[in-house]
Amino acid sequence: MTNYEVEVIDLVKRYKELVAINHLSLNIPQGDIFGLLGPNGSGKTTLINCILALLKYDQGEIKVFGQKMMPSSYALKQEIGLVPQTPTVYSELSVYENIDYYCSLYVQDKQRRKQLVEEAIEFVQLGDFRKMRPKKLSGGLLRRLNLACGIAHKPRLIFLDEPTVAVDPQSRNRILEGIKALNAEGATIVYTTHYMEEVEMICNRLAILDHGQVLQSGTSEEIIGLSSLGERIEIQAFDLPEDLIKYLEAQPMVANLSYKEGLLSLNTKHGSSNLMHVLEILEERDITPLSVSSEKPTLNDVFLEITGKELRDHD
Amino acid sequence: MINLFKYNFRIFLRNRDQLIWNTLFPFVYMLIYVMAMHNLATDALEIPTLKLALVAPKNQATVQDQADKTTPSALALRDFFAYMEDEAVEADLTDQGLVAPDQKVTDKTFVVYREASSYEEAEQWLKDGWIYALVQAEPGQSPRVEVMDRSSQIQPLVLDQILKIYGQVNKQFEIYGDAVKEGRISVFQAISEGLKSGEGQTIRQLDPAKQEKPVPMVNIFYFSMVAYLSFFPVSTGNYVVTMTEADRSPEGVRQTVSPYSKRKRFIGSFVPYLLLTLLNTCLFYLVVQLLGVNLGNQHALVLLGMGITTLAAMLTGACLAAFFGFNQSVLIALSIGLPLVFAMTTGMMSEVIYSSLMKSAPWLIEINPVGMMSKALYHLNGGGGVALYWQEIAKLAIFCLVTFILTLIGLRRNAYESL
Repeated sequence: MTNYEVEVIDLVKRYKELVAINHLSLNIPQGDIFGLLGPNGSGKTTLINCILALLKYDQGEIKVFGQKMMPSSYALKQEIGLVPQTPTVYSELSVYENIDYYCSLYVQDKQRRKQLVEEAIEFVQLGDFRKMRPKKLSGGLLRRLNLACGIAHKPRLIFLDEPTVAVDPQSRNRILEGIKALNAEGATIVYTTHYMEEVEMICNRLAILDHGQVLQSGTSEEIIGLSSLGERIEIQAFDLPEDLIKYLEAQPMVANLSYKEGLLSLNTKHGSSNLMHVLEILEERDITPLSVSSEKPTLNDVFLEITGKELRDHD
Repeated sequence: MINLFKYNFRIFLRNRDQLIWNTLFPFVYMLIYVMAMHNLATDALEIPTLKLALVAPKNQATVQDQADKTTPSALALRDFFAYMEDEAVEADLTDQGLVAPDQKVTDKTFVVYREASSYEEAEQWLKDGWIYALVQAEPGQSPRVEVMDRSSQIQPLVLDQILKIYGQVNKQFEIYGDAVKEGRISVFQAISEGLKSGEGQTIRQLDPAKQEKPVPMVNIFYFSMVAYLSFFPVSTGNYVVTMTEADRSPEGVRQTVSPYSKRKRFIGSFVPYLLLTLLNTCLFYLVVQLLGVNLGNQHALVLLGMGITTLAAMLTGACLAAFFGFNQSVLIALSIGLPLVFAMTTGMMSEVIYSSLMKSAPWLIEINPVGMMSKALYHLNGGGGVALYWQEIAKLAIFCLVTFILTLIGLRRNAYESL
């Protein structure tokens, strides 16, 4: 029997007429790095706030560590850490003081807390900045401080709400490595993001949300496997005859294709030998391509197929 | 909890906005106010003679009736003045108006009165400028006062005090009525008991000959100012609640997710902020003294009053934020406007509002913490004595208790409809 750190059962949350969470059910296994993917307005933050008993909900049940989660569940809250999207630190306190302050909400013992704070500072590599105020930190360093404040007390379950937004690549990699290290120490991580590549990098399980519902959930491979998308093939070959193009387009494994300036791009449907089949057709016509490449579908492709929209908003 | 206290101390001390708004601004305001009021200050108490017309009530119980041991229902104002002996003199009606007989007037005289045969006659005396005010006192009702010249600052205060004492004496009459009827005490003994209860001393304390250290009347404006500054930090109370609630600040979200209950977090922020604000209040008092404003020499009692008023301010702010924090504009307007409105009702800047409210809505001044503190300072400096000072402090303490309970009620929710 799988131990679930978080169980969400038939959750409904309305903001007046707007249904933000629509009969959503979700289980987050112990020890996972669980990704929550979805465009803006899909309900990710609302879901997290409901799990944390910050928001009232209209229907459903939420359990954390097997027990019902309520605003007064202080024993459960003791084991939870939150890294909010907006860096939430006190500008009047230094790096060390901020981490100590937030850690003191969870750990009363002074000696133990001192040790935890030092470990947190080392974990996010802010040792050189411990006496600085947040105003003097760059965006990336501020995010690392934000992370440290949320995990210093070594929680069993950590919620990270888009922790790498507007962060330089170096800091971003550090944060992601830090998250993997936390997971390696035994923490279950719930990670929301707009960045597909981050999910593919660190999450071993994920759920795709839209309009308050889980559209797909599972591992990356499972989700990609469930889609109808096959590999994307690109073949460089000049002067391909028109009838060949039409013949290829009519093939059952081809979803769509384009041929421009000598580059033939084919999006295939789900299948295992699509590339071989296309090359066989070209060989029959005595066409030797200059180059061939094949790419399996990405989560982004799957997301686009499922939701009909890009994960990140574009202006 | 100690860590919460420690860090909230630091946050307050290092917050530049708090420093400017809660410390520097009140100091600047105080300096400007004292400079503006400086020219009004006088060194000695001078009570102008009040010329009054008394309009006889429809149901007049005379002292003779009361001496006959019928149960007194009310003491006529005329008889009350008669008891004041040479402090109040009955005037003769002449062609030039009301004239007090020379043989009756002494250094102690500050009320000259005459009973008019009718309300209309008293009104005519008023129009002719023969009197400062006409007073009609019906039993069981507040005295009705008409004044022509509203430019005076001192005379309305003196008249107000006299009528208050008259009201107190009448209450004593109700208490001692049966004792008088049964002959256990005389009518005048009953009046004496009422005056001895503390209110009666007030008339004599207005007499400069009896004051050891005269208090300038302009201090009434200073009392309002000091009370206003003590009640200034309403916004600090707002801030504490805002930082505690998850739907008001991101810090509130982080704290709400923690295993600390909201009440503990509120106390953990409120107490350090209160202590530092009280320190501010003490500094105000020190500066007020250095600027030469005379608030008397009972420093501990003055500081106690200012401290409780500051506590009332912060609790008011916390209470407002707990109930109205969803609309920041309304909250800011209330935080700035409420202390000002309260101070205006107590006579800061102008006594016209105070006089009008005393007639039409005195309850507004009674429930108003700035008014309570202002009155407390007044009583402490020769108004009604220490007993009345403690009465005002008790009212302030009740105000604090009520706002504290309301704040806890407003903070009771732990989950929100939206963030």
